[in-house]
Amino acid sequence: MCGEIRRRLPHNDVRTRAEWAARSRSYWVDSTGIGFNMYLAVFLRCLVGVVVVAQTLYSSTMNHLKEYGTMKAIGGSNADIYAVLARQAVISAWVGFALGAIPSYALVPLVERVELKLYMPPMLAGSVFAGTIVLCLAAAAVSFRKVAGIDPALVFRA
Amino acid sequence: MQALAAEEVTKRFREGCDPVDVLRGVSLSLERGEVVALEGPSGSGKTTLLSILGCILTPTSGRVVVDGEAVDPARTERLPAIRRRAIGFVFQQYNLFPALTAAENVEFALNIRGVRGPGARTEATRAPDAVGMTDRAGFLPRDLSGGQKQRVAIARALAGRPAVLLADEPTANLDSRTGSRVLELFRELAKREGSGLLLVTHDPSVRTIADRVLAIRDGRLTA
Repeated sequence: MCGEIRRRLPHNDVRTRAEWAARSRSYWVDSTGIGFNMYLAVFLRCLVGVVVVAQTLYSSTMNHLKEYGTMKAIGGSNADIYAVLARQAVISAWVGFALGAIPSYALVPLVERVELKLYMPPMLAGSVFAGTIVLCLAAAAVSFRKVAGIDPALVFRA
Repeated sequence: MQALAAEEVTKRFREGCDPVDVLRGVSLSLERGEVVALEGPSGSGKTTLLSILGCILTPTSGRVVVDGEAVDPARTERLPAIRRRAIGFVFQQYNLFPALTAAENVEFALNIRGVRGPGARTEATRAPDAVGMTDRAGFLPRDLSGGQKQRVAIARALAGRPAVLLADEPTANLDSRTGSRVLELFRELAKREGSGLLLVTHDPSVRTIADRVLAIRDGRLTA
């Protein structure tokens, strides 16, 4: 039908519903300042989140150096220790995602009462969760470096 | 069968610009099922020798063979694998994992040794029984006495039946009665599991359970 309308009205823009929606989004995101501000805000929040998780994991690692040294002394490889740290990073990701997602979804019915729409498709939640996992694992990299250099001989020191 | 052998092991450290010879030509052997005590004053090189025999450090020169495998100082990446396969440690400070129960400490050691799943859980349940900790298997280390912690540490060290058990001052933080019981348990389990046990100690009561006593002074074995 779209093709037929274009044929009959060659001097008009004819778009499907999906094309019009994409064009509208593109206008607001690319042609106004909203898009840049939104991306900047997301970037800064991710950066702060990575720093907070990195600091938390690093602090925990430093508090448990002797345990990691013991793991190495009894035969644990760096990979075994990375697995422990990765598990901690993934737990941080789960907690962080839950703390963000639950209030966000709770806002949906509240926002609808003032006749606005907060649109959060499952794909968005999925990609945010995946991104959270990746960022938390990246944050654990600082701790990975620290534990790689742990000397197992420290277990013999009081 | 030999669990452990060291031939003319030396270890030199650098303190600033000066070399320090901590070990000077140490040779010893440990058979499976044998209990050997290593006595010596502070600074005699006991801990350094234990670290080398335990494949935590490599010697400056000399040869170490653990359960038939010669330790190659040029291949330090092999050391964790040798520790995993053939060596169990018991530390003076116990060094249990504080967030894990007694049974979980044993299970974790088994996981590191590559034993996972139901097999590891079964063994982790059996191990506390062997050290008289059946009713404490679900307790965290903070809820255990010193003697109980050391029993768990022994169970963890024996998990996976290593050829060599190395104990660094295992009774130093225990009263004499508890220490004696722990030593008896150590001897009994080492003999039963067929592990060679080397105890580094200041405690003269260790002599009562040892098949042989070695003395180290200034980096050399004197007896």
